[in-house]
Amino acid sequence: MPSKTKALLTFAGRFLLVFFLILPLWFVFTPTYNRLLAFSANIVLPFADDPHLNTLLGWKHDILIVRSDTPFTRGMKLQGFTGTLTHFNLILMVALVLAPRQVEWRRRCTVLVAALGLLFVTHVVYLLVGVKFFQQPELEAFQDPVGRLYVWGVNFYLSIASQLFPVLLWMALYRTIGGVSKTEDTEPEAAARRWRI
Amino acid sequence: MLRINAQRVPLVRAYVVFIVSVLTLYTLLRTSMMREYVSEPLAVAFASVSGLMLNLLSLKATASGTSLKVEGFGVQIDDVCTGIFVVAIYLSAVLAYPSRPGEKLKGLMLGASAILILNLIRVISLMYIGLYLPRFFETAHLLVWQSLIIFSALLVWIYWTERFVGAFQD
Repeated sequence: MPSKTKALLTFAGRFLLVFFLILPLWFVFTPTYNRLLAFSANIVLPFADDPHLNTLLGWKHDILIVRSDTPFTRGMKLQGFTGTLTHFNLILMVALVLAPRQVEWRRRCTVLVAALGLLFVTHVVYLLVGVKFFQQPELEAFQDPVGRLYVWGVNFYLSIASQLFPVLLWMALYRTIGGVSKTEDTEPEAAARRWRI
Repeated sequence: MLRINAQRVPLVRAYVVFIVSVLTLYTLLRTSMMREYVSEPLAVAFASVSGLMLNLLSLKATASGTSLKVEGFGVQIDDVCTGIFVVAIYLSAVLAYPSRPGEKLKGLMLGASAILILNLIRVISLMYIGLYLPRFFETAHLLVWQSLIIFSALLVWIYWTERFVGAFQD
C-alpha cells in the first residue's frame, strides 16, 4: 500500500476514534452550550429584531424562542431550534483538528481555540437568522426578498454549510497556523505533498 | 487597496471558484426543475437499490417511489438524503483545485461514485438502526452520518489531489 494512502487511512482511523469519543461528551455538554448560545444571541438580538419581541432560551437539548407579546401558558407550543442540529459541527471540527499526527500540540491547541471561536460566532449568527426565518410566512409567494434570503440561509446552513464550514475552517487554519511550512506552501510542485496528515 | 501576493493568486482563485460553485450548485439543486429531473429520480433509485440490497441481506424490504419500508419501519428518502449536496461540494472542490480537465474528470468520477456508494451504505445502515435501535435513529441519521459523509468527501478529495493531480498549471 502506498505510504500516502496508508497515511490517509491512519488519518481516517484517528478521526473516527476521536469523533466517537467526543460524541457522548458533546451530548452531555449540549444543554450548557445551548444556554451559552442563547445568552450570547440575546445580547445581539435587539439589534436584529425590530420591534424587539423575541428572546432565546436554552432548554435542555433545544433553544426556544420566547415572544414577549404572547403570554407563556402551560402546554403552549414554542418555536425553536434543535440544539444538536445547530452545533453538531463542533464534533466534526474537534475531530478534524485532533486527527492529524504531524502537528505540534501547541499549534493544534491554537487551531482548536480559533476554530471553536469562529464556530461559536457562526452558531450565534445562525440563531439570529433563524429567528427571522421563523417570522416568515410559510408560503414562498408571501415572502419578501429579504425574507426569502433568511429562509435560503437557514436551509443552506442545515443542508450544506453546517458540515462544510468546519472542513473549510480546518483547511484554512491548518495552512496558516497548523503546520504547513511556507517553503512547501509556495512550491508549485508541492501539490502532492501538501496534505501531510 | 487590497494587494494579493502573486504566489497567492491561484489559491485565492481556487477559494473564489469553490465558493461560487457551491452557492450556484446549491441554488440550482433547490430549483423545482432540478428536483424533478435529478434529486427525485436519484431518491427513487436509492430507495429501489437499498430495498434490493436489504432483501439480499434477508430483510423483507419494499420500495415504492421514494419511500422504503422494512418490516414495519419506513422512511422517505428526500433530496438531502441522496448525498447530492455532498457531491456538489466535492464537485466544487475538484473544479476549484488547479488541475487539468482530464484529472478533474477522473476526480469527479471517483468522488461521486465513492460518495454515492457510501450513501447507499448509510441508507442501509439507517434501516437496520431504525429497525433494531430506533432510539439512535435520529442521531445516526441527522448527526453522525452527515459528518461521516462530508469527511469521506474530504478524504476522497485529498486522495485525488495526491494520486491523480500533477503539478499546478500556474
